[in-house]
Amino acid sequence: MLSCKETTELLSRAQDERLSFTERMGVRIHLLMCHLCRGYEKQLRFIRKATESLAQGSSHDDEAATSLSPEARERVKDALRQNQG
Amino acid sequence: MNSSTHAQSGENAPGLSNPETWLDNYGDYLYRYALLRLSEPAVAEDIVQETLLGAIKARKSFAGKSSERTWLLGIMKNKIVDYIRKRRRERPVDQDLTKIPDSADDLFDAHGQWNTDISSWSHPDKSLEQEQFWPILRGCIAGLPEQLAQAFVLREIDGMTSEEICQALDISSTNNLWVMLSRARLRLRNCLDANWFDNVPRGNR
Repeated sequence: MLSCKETTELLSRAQDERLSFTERMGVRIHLLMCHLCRGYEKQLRFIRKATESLAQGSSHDDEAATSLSPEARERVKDALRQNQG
Repeated sequence: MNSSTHAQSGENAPGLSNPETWLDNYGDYLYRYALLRLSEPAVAEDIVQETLLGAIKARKSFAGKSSERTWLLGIMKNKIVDYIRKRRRERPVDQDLTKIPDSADDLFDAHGQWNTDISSWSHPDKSLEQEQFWPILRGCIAGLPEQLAQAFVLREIDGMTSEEICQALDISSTNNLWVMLSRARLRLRNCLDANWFDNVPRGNR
């Protein structure tokens, strides 16, 4: 029987790789019997979904915090000017 | 689009606009991309600068096969990986992570069972529609220990394969990478649990 810790590690790895048949079965059996790990699996899926939205820029969040400030813009402009020509 | 009437040396590749417009047109886009991966505004700003400088030097090589923005983004991705590699050289990771405990391990007892009843989240997808959620998620990613954040970002945001990440970050085995990703995800789960889901007023979950 897999422990919860082992199960959480396999659930994580399943997001990146295909688990072996034995591993998949082990996880499935553990999940049948452990509601906490079932909850964790859902949470992992949510985290992936949320991060994907973030990556695609489809999140509607604070524009000011994620834009170059006017000061930063000036600094970059100066650096570019110094390096051109 | 400006034509390069006074371009620095008149040597833009065909189809490439004047570099002076790049900052205005793509600056925020590039900054946002870098910030998501590196979390520190000052570092992200430097990377934007390095990217634009590198692009100016490389502008003759723009083949016009992709859009300008895609081309600039390609340059930026390389700069980001270079930066991450440099940071890792400055603070090397002990190679066998499986032997080093992480704070996330505290959630399990000696038998590997959860030692506390972790909470579940009902209807978490609703969070995706709430503006206040995103800074929290960004903050949780930014709060990860640096090595874990790097692996997580390259995997989740850039979609690199395990092998590609191991190569980019000089990680010796995919096993170590998987330990890192598992820890990152567990920490993120806890961070969101504490900072978002427990703070949502009753009835709004």
